Amino acid sequence: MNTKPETPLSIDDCYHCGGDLSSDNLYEATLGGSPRYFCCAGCLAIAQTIHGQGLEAFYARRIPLGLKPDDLGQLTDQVPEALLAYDDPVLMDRFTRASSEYPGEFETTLRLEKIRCAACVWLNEQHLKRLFGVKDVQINYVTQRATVRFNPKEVNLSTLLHSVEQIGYEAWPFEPSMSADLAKKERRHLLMRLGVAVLGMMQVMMYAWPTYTGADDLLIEQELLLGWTSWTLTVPVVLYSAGPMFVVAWHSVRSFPKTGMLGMDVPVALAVAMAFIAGTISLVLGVGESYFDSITMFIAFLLGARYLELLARQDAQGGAEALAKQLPATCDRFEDYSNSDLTKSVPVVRCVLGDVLRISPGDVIPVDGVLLSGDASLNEAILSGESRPVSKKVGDVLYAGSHNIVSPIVMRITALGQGTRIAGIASLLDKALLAKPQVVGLAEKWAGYFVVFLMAAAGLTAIAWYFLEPMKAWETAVAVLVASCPCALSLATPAAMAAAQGAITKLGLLVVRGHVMETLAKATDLVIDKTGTLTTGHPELKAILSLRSGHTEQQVLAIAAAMESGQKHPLGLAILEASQKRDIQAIILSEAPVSELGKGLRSGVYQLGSRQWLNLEPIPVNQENEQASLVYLKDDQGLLAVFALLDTPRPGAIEFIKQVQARGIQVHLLSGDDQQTVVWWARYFGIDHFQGGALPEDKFSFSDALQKEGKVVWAVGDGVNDAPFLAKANVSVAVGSGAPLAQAGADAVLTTESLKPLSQALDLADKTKIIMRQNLIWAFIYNVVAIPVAMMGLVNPWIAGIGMSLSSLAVTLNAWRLRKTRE
Amino acid sequence: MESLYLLIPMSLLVVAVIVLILYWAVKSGQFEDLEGPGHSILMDDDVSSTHVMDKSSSNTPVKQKE
Repeated sequence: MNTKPETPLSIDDCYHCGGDLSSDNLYEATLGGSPRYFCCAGCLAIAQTIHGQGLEAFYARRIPLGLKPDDLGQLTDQVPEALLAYDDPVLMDRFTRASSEYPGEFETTLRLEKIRCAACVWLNEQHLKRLFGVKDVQINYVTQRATVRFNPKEVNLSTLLHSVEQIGYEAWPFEPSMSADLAKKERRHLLMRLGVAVLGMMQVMMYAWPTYTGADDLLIEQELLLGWTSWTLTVPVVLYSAGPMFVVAWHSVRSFPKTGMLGMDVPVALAVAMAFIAGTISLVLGVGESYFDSITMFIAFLLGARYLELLARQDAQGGAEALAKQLPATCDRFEDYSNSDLTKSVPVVRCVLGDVLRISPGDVIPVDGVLLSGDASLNEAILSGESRPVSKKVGDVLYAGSHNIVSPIVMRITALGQGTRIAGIASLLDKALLAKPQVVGLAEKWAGYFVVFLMAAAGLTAIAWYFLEPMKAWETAVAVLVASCPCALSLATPAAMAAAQGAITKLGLLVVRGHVMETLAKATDLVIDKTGTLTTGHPELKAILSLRSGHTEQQVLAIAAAMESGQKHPLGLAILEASQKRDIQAIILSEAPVSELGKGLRSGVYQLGSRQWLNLEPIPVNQENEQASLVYLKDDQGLLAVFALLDTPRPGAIEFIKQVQARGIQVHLLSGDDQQTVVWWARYFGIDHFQGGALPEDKFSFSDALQKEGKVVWAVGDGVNDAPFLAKANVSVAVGSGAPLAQAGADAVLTTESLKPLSQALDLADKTKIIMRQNLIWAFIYNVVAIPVAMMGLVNPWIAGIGMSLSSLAVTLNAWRLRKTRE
Repeated sequence: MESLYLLIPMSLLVVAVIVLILYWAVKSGQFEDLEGPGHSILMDDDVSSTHVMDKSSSNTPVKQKE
């Protein structure tokens, strides 16, 4: 493991965060017997907490991040007011539940943020466990959720949350929805069914060994014993493991008059039932063969494929849960707005229309409302896709979910909960999910016809043999059903899907709904969002223009960085980032910079901000920087330099668009950003179809219109505003770093920064399609050969068994080739 | 071959026991998180006590990372 140097005398970096130490602002403490140096009181407090509990192994095990904790105000022992609100009975009720096994104790589920490696999980678990009153902590590494059992008399929710924050992570209580509980139950049931089937399969095949090898030294009684033991083990597999298949099959048969199609479960259930009955009859009569080994193996294989599919599907989040994460649970409310400026932290659920709230810079607005005081600069990217901060004046409408960037603001609530704009988008998403076109898989379509054909064939065989040789009628009919083996057919697509999904997940695309690979290969139109999807949404310093002669870029950047230090405006952050990247030390200013809201910063002779505010002539800009946001730096002698900042394209974006276009897929760029910006970016990427200023509803109806024309729409997006159209599209991908709500509507989630996995997914989708077709053709050919032979009564049961196994094995192995896909 | 009369019923018994174990494992959530425990066993408190660290010179596992 790569660790920060532990040399006691190293004073270059902060012991805790690894940040640079400046000699004038240095904290020292003796920890673990050696002097340690810190960049700030916050890091010192964290390190003392960690050492104080004997958890210093964290420093050896963590993966160095180079991140400074951003909010140092919270690192005192005092639980901040915002968290105390969680002890309010209303919120407490929502987020905790009485433990069923330990009376008097409560359980809560916390979602942990900023978990980056296994050491983080370990640290949180240990830290929470050592709190007085905490009885048990379980952290799931995959879902990053902690289940904490505690005694409410000894410790409360706010302390739990605060103690996680004390070590530099974030936790928010999480309301486990009903659906999550159901999902867990479903998962456990299927796993149990699979386990029983696999155990049954192994045992029954062992008992069938003498039949396979043709051992003839077995006595009749011994054969009977083996037969009945196999039967005993097959019964639970058929009744318990395959039970739900019979139920589904029965529903499918009952709805046949309406739908005209039979599901995949019908031939499966039929074959299992008939084979089992036939096997039992042969066992009782002592003639003919039992099919118990084939039955158990078939069921085990099928359930295995279904379990993998279920796991992938359940990784998706529910819409309600995603919405809860988007908005803060507490807010600062004015107790008596007109008379005093006292505020109190209260749960948002306690607020009513007309309440007045204060929103600190850096916070997310929890409700819809109007601005009462202060000019505000808000980031609404998550709602509208607009990449630059939006300025708001008194009386303007503010939306829940937008981010307050610059200064504290005061707002009056006009809509709460389900009435807010963001909740409206969420309900549009739910509607879209309902209206989503049902993807009829290739196999299901074939199965519909195949089943009908199979039944006819079996019936015909029985009738024909009844006239020829009544004794053999039943046996041959069963042989037809067993030999024809829906096994290969029903495994043909799921096996290919499972293999392809496994491969693509490794590359960085998490497939949530099973049909993705199949539908991707058929896509005709790609509708893609701009901000946050094609571009990263974070501005980056592109160029320094109109530099006054006699100054270097380093010098002006050092001045700008000094002025922007500590600011939260995205453009300021971009300038800081650029100066760090070039290793430029910020100059020391004679006066602390003063922020003039929405205009710029002033410090001594220097002014940094918009052209209008600085009263400067516009500078000539070449086409390359036409779309850039310009920040002007001026001193007492006039213009010093202009910084051109531009949103950056995501890595792999250009290649991805080129590849998609080369496949003949029509690309549409649909963005909430203003038309001019969208035009520029469309030209940059070489996209002919584009539309700016698109509302979530516009995006939704756009993809709806395309689908009505018979197009297969592939949507890619990241924001809340993309959620409905992601849900509506035939196949959709949400960018993982985007809004959780968008991911709730999507079929797949991109987990990497680059768009490259999308290109790879396209290639893989083609391969998957080919493999699936091969599998289906193989299953078809096998059946075409096997069915007539079986109908003629020529099939020896063990030949049928081997044929059945081989055909499924061939299908599975063929699918397995997809896993070999390398980067 | 007479051993079959003993071994086969015994195998049934073994299967029954395994099913019970499986039932317990599924119900108590042993399969919920297949990644975390693998890490946590490596992270358990083998160097945890503060005393060890305080007395230590340069031979604790942590220091050896230098």
